[in-house]
Amino acid sequence: MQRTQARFEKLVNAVSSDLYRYAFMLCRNRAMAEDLVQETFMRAWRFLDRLRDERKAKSWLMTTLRREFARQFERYQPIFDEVELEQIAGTQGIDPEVLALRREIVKLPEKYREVLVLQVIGGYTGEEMAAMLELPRATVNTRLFRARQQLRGILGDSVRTSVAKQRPET
Amino acid sequence: MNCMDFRRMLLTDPHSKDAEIAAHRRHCSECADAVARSAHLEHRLRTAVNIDVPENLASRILLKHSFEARSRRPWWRTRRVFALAASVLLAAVIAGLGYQSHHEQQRLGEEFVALVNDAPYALASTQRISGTEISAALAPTGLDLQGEIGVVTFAGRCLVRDKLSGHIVLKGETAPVTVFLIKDQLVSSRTAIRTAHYSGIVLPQGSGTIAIVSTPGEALERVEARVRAALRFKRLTDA
Repeated sequence: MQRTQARFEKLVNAVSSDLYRYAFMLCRNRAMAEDLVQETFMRAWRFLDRLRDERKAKSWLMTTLRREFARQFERYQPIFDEVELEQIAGTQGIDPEVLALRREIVKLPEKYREVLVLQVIGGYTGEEMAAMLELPRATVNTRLFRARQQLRGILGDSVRTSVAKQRPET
Repeated sequence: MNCMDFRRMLLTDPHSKDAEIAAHRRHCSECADAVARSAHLEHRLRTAVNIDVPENLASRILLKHSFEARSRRPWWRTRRVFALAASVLLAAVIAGLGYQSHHEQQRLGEEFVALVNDAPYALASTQRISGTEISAALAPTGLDLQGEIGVVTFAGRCLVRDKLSGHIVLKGETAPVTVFLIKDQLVSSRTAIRTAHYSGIVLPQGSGTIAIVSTPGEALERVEARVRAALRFKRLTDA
């Protein structure tokens, strides 16, 4: 029992921050994001014994959180308000381009936002995400492609300027 | 691998360790700009999703876990005994007196309490929401609230018996007061909700239903009067 408790604590300390970020990007509501993380860990505790491979813990938790979000969202549709984004601690003083990008990420269609955030936060490959989301790999790749394409369009000008600045003069 | 495939891959898996991709990345001068743009975008993306996490989140998770773990077994045991006793008593009442409609209304009350429990984040909101935001939240339900109903801290929608319904939380005197607004009539008369931790009322209003749930002791009559006066039914085409 003590070993399981220690394992659980280690998991919470290691993964809760990334889970919260993923949850927020899914539901776009701070209170709901925290609730989703809490509920995910409560479920994790019940099934911790089944988790043999520690390396898979994070993806397992993210999948659990995603399912919990779908379950809650089926019954509740919290209002997304841009004010939520402005009120995130640390947003003030952030690079305006990054803030603009954050705004556009949360406005992406859910199916694009979900795979993109999962990849950026979790660092998963297309194959890993296909298994997590129970989707064909080609579908995951298409969604990633379209998500980045849309965001690249938004950052297009600033990216070009930045790249031009980085390039040494010949 | 040609340049088109490589650039497409930069938008799907920019950190791929594939040897062929790595070789193209190193040697293709045509794609150097695309690689730089991709690196810039990925750096920005990582920063953009790296939002601040609430202070002491991990501690709060562990605290909640310790409470739940401590209370889980006795709670289940107690609940089972009470559930069994309640089932027997309820069966006797229904069989003996034929209070089918009463039972149905009680079940409806329990459903509203379950809805409140399923959305703790709705109770956690503390900031006042404007009338415009409330109307926007309610629009798809075919309902609206016009006029002052108090300090609203949450406005959203939920499914009540598969009907898209309004879900409002008001600041009460001692605790949040949750109001559900349903366009269809679910009850024919005013019914009280009473559970161990909640009390409330379900009442018909025009062709719809209002349910109000809070903790015992909260004055629900005032909320009821204000919500009844403010509730408007709209044609969905107006929404």
